[in-house]
Amino acid sequence: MLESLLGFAVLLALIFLRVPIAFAMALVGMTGFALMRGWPASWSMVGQVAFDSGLSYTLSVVPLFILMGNLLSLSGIAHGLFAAADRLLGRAPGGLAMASVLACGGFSAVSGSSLATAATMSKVAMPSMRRYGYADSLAAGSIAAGGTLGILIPPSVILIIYGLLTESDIGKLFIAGILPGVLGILLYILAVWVTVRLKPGLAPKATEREAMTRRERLGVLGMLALFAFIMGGIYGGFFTPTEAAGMGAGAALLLAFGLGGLTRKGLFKAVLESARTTAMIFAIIIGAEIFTNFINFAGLPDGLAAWIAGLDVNAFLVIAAIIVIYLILGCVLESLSMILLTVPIFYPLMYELDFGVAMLADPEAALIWFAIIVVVVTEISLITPPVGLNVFVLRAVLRDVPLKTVFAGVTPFWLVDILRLALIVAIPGLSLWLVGAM
Amino acid sequence: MASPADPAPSDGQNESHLTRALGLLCGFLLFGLIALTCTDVVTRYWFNAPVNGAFELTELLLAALIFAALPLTTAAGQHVEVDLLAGLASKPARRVMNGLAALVSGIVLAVIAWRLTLHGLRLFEDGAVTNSLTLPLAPVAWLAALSCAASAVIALLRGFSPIDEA
Repeated sequence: MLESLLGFAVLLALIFLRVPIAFAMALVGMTGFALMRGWPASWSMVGQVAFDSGLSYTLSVVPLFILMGNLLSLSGIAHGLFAAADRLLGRAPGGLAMASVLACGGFSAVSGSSLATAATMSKVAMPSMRRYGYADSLAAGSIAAGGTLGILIPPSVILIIYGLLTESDIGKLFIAGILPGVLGILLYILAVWVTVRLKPGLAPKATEREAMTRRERLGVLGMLALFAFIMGGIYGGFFTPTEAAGMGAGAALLLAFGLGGLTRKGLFKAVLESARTTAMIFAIIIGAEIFTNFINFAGLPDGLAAWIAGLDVNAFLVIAAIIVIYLILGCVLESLSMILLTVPIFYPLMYELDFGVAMLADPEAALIWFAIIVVVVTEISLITPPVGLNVFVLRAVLRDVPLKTVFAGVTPFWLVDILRLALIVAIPGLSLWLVGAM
Repeated sequence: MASPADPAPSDGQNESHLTRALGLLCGFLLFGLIALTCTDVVTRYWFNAPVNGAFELTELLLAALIFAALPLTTAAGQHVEVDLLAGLASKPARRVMNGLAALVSGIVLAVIAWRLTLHGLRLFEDGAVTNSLTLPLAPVAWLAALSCAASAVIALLRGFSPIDEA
């Protein structure tokens, strides 16, 4: 127990000194394991983990879902989505910001990553909002927040990794993310509405409709068909969630080619980016597994579970405490490493805690509910200063906007996110109704 | 700040030949994965004849992809870092931090390379093969080791080269 806490302290120190998170976790895990069980044991563990993680069938979805998102972001679909959302909401006060949120939610349905969603949508939605004189804070805030939906609305790389860590059914996790994702869109739109009500100057009225080419219209239809194909394929039993990634990427490739937006250079760039992101993610997965082996051996998860069982407090209080821990960790850690480091520690609690709610009596259901809580907290961390990654994605696209402005613009969305989190905790049905209906 | 935030560190041009070659290889591996899954699903569902060994081929392609891409990620400086203090640190302090990061990355990658080599040797001696296609596993471990070793060198070079003072 003490060893693990010491390990965490050293890890955080290294991370603050800007050592890449993946290698910091590997070094601390390796050293800690060696100090407890000797160097030879630790070294064999490292080789085994690196080899086994590379050869993981379930994780083959990671590069494929990433490639799918990258291909579609090249294909003009993102602008089509924005134009379509503009037709629905563009006339309302703050309508373009609402349309950005809705388009982000739409793109999330074919993208498994929040960063990719925010990066893609910022390129299409930001220019329009600037043309009409929207305040940079509101414009950038709506995209940074809307982009976080990428990891909640299926497909989601984070939910797949959660499924792998906890041996939960990935198909059920995907379904569970839908309602909370839709709730997220609605609450973000509400946040825009309230913000513009309070400060109408932030969002001058847009006078013209966003232009939409025939190709983009086809693209949006194609994208909806792709989402239906992926989800229908999984639930119709045609293919597994793992295979859905390969099928989805194949269909996305056809779609991008069919729409004619794909050049050889663009394709190469999409592939290279996907490959680089894949290696980045796997470095983190391997590092986190080495670190987790150390803290598991040091007995942290068991010690924690025993300690909490001994406390005899209300189960929801435990969840609240976990959420506070996540909110704090989210301020300093990157999302994937946070999940890989913490889920192995916390998920055994779902078997121990008695929530007194019929819906959560089955540990399997409690695990799915907990997954959605973890993902929503992670979404919040993506827009929380100082390391809210989505904010930095926006900053990378809009070099002339100060970071402070983006964080200020994100604040209303952050507030409704906390409200959404409270609702999801209080009403497990939001996550579990659709799962039960399937 | 945290560095994957730079969504486009390269524009597809000005890449070295090695980068282009590795990028192409990654492309073939990715499309191989897609083709394999699609063929497997289609033939299984409509012709009742799944691809033999699709499961293990997927695993091998994935491993090849990760380790082909690892040097690319390392060279592009795309490993996730948290840049909280670096913004406040003085130039010499930043230099020390760069060195530390490179050293940790280099050591970890070198240890993994070394252990993967030994792991490969053991697989080779055991004659370990995949279940249905009986493909030998040792070369996979060795290729992974080679990739980690190359990445270790790249990480060290990046950390101690003065050019990298963005």
